[in-house]
Amino acid sequence: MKRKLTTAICVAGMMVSIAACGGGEDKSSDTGADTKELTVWLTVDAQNNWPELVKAADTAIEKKHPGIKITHEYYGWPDKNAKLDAVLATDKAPDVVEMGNTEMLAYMVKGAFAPLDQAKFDNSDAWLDGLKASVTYEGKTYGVPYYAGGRVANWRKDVFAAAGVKSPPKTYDELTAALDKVQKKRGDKFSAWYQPTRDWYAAMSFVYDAGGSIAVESGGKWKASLSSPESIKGLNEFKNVVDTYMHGDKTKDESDRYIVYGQGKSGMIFAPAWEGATAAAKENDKTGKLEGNVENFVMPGPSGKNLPVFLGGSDLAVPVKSDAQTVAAEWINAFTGPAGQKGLMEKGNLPNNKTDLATLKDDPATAVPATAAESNWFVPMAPGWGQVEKAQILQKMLQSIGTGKQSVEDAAKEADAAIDKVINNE
Amino acid sequence: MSAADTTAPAKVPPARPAPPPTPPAVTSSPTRRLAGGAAVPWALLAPCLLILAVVLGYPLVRLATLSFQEFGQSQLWGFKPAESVGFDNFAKVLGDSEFWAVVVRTIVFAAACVVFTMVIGMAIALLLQRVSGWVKTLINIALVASWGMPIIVATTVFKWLFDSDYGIFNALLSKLPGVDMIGHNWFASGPEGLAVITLLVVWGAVPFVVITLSAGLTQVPKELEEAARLDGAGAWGVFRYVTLPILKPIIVMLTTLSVIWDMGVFPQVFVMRNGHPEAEFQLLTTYSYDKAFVVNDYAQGSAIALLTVLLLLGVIGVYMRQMLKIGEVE
Repeated sequence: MKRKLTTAICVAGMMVSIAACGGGEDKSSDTGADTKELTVWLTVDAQNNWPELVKAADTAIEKKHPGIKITHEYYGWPDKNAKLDAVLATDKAPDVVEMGNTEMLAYMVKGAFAPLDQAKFDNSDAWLDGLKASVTYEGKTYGVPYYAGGRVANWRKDVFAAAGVKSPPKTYDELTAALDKVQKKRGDKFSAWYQPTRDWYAAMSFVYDAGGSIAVESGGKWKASLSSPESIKGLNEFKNVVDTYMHGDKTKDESDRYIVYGQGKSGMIFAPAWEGATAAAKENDKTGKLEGNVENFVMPGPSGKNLPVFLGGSDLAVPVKSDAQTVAAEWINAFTGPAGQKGLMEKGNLPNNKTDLATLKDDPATAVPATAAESNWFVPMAPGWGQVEKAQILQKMLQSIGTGKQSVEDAAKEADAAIDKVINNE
Repeated sequence: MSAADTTAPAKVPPARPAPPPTPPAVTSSPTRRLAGGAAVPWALLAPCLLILAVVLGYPLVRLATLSFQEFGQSQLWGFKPAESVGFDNFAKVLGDSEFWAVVVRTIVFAAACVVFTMVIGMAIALLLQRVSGWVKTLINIALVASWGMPIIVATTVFKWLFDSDYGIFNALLSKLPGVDMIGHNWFASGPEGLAVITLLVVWGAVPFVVITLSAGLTQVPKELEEAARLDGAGAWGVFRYVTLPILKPIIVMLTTLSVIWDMGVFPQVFVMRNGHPEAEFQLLTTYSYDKAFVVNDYAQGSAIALLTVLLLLGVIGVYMRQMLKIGEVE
């Protein structure tokens, strides 16, 4: 009896371990094989914030190609590329993919995207320089700029007014003085400035403001420079902000910032220009106090100038393995053309071209993001930069700094070593 | 082992029926039946073996070849041929001090999980013997329910239990006089975070151990326990000198299985850390995933996975030996 039982356990154990070994990456089942079907991968930004623009582009293409079936898949930024890598290994690649402008280079270098005819896209002669550079490799165009985004400060007028601050701060000293007042008045369960620790776009703004940088190029080779004295100074400024004004979970990133802000737990954020409005939208404004009370302003920096902001943005590319490349390009043009740009600007984004950008500064509603974007920084255009982002080296460094686990110097040194390992890899 | 067992008897009989002069029809029929009998088990096993070869064999072969090649995104997408680099990947992995830190962490973590699982499992199994019928049923239902909960769901629940802002665990702890844990972040430090993950793993593993051990406990002869008691053994003595030796094969089996499972913990850490475990949370599984899919060095990821397999081979050896020993006795 006993022996039988033990044997049964062995078998049961083996079965469970086999079952446990199973599972893994599920293969994508999209079939964008012929031109009757088009698969478009966008990030959740489009799904959450401007779905009507996607629909408008679909409608335009459906009119031109009756009977075409357009499938959309939406991805979060963190897991998108792992999925894309897996699908590009098969012959069922999507036809259009949205890429962050910092992610393009690694894929262009390896030949993952099909070259596009720049002349076929509206406004292509006036694309923003930074975005144009991000889609160009060895003189060929491999993508189409979609939009750009600067970052601005967004504050709650009611919270600051209650602490005696009536107009947006113009200098960094004014800003910290105002934040101190709010922090003192609201106690330490409230974040005068909700600044997620892992938000490297904000942290690096302080680094560049202090004259530092993530990495420097010399003789075609890149070398990380987060532990240079200037960079350390900027990181210390950032740590100061997190220590003094941020009273939330110090291991979080910026993905739910608008939700936290909408819950009324904070007086100010430093975020992409649309986030303040998103937090104040009905579904996110849990206290009912944000609507009509939030306002964007240009972020002053500790150096005395405006804080340089990360000029992020998205590009759209056509994978070289897509077999609907012509229609894919048409869809991209319908999406990023003049109508699309107008819609994106209304949401607080910067357009992909200089002509539209010029009009933004004259309009009081959009003048702030357009002005803030004038002072900007961009990631090192190094072949291995994509790996630095995917391995979340900067985020991990910032978390160590923010939680106090490592000193700024140690964390920066460790991050430099990690970056140096991958930044020159193709 | 099964091949030797089944073919041996088939070859013996033909020698025996030869001396007595019996009609040929009778002698030939058992021979034919037995000859066919040797192939039948294999025929029945074939579909299963085929599936195993495809599902387990192919990935294993691929894993082994990958670890001796240079294999990144370009090779994955077929733009570049995969070139063999010999032991380069292994040299790189073994020369990295981070790898050794991960190995040590994995072993400590797995050991803690196994010890807690076995001790708690044994305690509950013994308890089950002494409670009344309906309590036993209730405990069993609770055990099966927690066993049946998908890992991802369980992990998400634990994540919320230990959330720094809204977690019920912090709120409960703070009810104790003099304790203020509101806003305490369990995942800000590696050891604390791994302790929470250990709790989650043990919570998920205990039911199987309890159910198996209680089944084993029913096989312990009552007479032996009684005799021990007559000889003056206390509760501990009975457990130590009667129950434990009889349960030993089951315990060895459960322990080796637990080691294999706990060395392979992945989703608990991965989901708990939002898909990006910090350096202090990396176990061999997540480390290999990171290398393969985050930095896109599939070859080095494979090398780490292969090294993990080698490390586990010792444990698997114990398990196989125990299994074969049971087979022999049978």
